[in-house]
Amino acid sequence: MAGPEGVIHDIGYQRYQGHRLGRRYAMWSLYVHSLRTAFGLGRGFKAKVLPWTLTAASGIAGLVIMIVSTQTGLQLVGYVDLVGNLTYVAIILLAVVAPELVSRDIGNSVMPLYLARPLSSADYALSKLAALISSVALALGPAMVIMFAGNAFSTKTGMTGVLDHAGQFGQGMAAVAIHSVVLAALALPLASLSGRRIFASTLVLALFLITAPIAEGLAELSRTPELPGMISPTNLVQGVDNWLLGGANHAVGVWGPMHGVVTLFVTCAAVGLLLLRYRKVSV
Amino acid sequence: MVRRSVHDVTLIESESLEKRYGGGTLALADLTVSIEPGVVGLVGANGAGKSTLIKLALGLIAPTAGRIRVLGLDPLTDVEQVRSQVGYMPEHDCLPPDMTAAEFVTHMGRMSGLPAATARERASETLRHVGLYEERYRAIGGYSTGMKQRVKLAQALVHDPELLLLDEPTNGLDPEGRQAMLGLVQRIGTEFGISVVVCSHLLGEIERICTSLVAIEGGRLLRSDSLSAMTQQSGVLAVEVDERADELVARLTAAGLDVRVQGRELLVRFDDDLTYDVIRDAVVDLDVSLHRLEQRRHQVADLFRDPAPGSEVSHGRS
Repeated sequence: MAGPEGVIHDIGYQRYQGHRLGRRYAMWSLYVHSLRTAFGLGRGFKAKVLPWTLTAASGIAGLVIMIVSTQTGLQLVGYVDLVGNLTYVAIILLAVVAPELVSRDIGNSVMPLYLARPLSSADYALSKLAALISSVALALGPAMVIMFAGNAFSTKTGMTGVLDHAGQFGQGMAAVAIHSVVLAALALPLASLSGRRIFASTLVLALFLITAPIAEGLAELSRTPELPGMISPTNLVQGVDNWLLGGANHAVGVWGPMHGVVTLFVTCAAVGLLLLRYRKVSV
Repeated sequence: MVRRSVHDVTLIESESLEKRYGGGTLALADLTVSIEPGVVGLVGANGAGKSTLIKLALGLIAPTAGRIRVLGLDPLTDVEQVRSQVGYMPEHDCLPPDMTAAEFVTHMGRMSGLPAATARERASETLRHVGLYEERYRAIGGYSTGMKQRVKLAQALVHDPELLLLDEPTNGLDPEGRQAMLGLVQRIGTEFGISVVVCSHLLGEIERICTSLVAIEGGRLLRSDSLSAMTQQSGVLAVEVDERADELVARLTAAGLDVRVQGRELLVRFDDDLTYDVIRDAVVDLDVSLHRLEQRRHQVADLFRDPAPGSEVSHGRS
């Protein structure tokens, strides 16, 4: 194919004799690819702005709280509660990233190309979900690390202080994990309903932002405000924080286990719906 | 994974295959066909069931009756094995506009199980083979239709499949682009040694590059044969005279020739050189002026157009 003055010599088509890796590898590759997409890596500047701004915002929040508490000795917000306070960062990130991960493939009809490959539709959906969970965790996690690093270095009680903060850091990371899994699992099936990013984003935002005032309104009418409060996913995860990790944002008292069960159920149902939705993807 | 040699298995084999969609639409009915390696044209009008057959072959949908085997495997149970050896190019747009071709084809290579470094290497090789050079580092959104079709072909080819399924690869291309795409498909079949099933509703276009043809209509098999078997008759002479064509037909028929009228032309079955003499003598006797006397490259379309003469042609003269 080289032109008369060309220097590239065409050695013809080469057959591939090497090893072919299976579905697991394809899932891993799709996960890595999606995670890179989530943060705009390998994309233009525009794709990076929002995810990195949000990650930086949560990092700065962690930094400010860490500096204030180390300088003044006042514990403004605990690790777990900071995660709870950053829920809005997580929600905006989900509204940006979830459509990026799934709506584009539906809108550009890339799905047939995936499904004609060893990957099954469930493999595809689970890889995307894993990537979305990871991207939320990556946006919230640094705040925990900053809090821990600053506090551990400035502790005045030596090793005991470091261990104390390590324990709180562990709780904070557990909260990050819970929030990431639950919120991502709820957002992804919604985003996958539309091939247009704007609609997908709206659906995700609607779920989190509309349920909050409804939950608040119902809670005011109810004798047991914890129960109707569960309508809002934000309350739900913060209730779990309160029950398991000593978070103080949303006290649920004896209803802690209930929040745990409902969270688990809602998460599993959302994943189930996601898989169901992808079984129906037309090719 | 053990790779089978494609040369000793049938590419696609179906037995009484039937696919009825949810709405009750019968897309394929009782299709029994055996497609041998080579460049195979799958022809039929829009809605004849070509795409359904491809989806069944990929295991993307399940047949409602009958069975299908691809490369000797069942696409529904040996999903992974079948799909890692098959490349699929869909009919419609399927490319993300904001990725570069190099990045996208690499990604698709990895999805088919190529290790990362190999995927990158093969992606740029494949893009070069389909005729995309420096453009491959630009976002696909800015590509022409022809370039997009090439990227679609490259992503089907990147993992070096044994079988390529191309659904209307010339869709939306201008005449020049169509020729280039067909040339590419032919090269893949011959030089690359990859078997190709190419769907088209334009028989005349793909018959040039195919080694065999499968024609379906309304979900049923019309005909399946190697191209040489279809065109084994020595061919057709096109005769055009300016007047008294019907008299010429009568004369030629009387002389024992098989004549069909098509527009202004008479198509005369060509048996041996004597046919020329018969036509010449007839024209001279009638004293008409002969505008054209040429040997037609056999158009397979002629065989499909009319089922009765079609079958006659393929099985010799009756």
